[in-house]
Amino acid sequence: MSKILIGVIAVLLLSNYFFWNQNNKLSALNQAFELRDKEQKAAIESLQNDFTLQTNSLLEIQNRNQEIQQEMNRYLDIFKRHDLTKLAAAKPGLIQPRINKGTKDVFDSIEEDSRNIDSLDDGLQLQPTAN
Amino acid sequence: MQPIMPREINLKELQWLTVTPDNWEEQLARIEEQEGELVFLAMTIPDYEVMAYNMQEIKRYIVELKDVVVYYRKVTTSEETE
Repeated sequence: MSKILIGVIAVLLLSNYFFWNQNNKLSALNQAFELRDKEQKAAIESLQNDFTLQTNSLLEIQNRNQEIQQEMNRYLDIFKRHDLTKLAAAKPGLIQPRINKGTKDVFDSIEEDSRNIDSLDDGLQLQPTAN
Repeated sequence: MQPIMPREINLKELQWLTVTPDNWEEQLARIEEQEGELVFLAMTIPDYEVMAYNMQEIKRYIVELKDVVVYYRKVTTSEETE
């Protein structure tokens, strides 16, 4: 009778050890999977954020391009609406300063646009300022 | 790491003279007094309008290219900081 009992206890102990071992392995595996899952979620989130940033930035560029084209059309519309040749012939004293101001305004706006580009890197320069 | 942006554009001022049959002598005299000799380049009004259109095209291109540069800087800077 005692031998049977000892045998049963031995089997129980062995199976306990087996399940405890399996449990440890499965826990370690579970932790590894959880870590991988976490990393993948972080990677997916990062990609989604990048995609959102790029999409929004591209939309901004499209809108800006439309605005620029409209601004250009408005400016050039002046020449369509007025016969500059006739005006200049009739009133040169009026047209001359307006043309000079128009040219200056265009040059100033081009300089301003380029200044915005230059300022992106806090004003670092490869070449000295032109005289 | 981002490249250094190009130096800003620095344009010089110029002056147009409007010459008509009524004021050409006065304008020529002004040129001669200003430059010391009577030599100049001439442009018709239609050609001036073409030049104005060309300047607007250049401005448009600069602004659109600037936006593309800003886009790439924004996208690559956010990727670098991750």
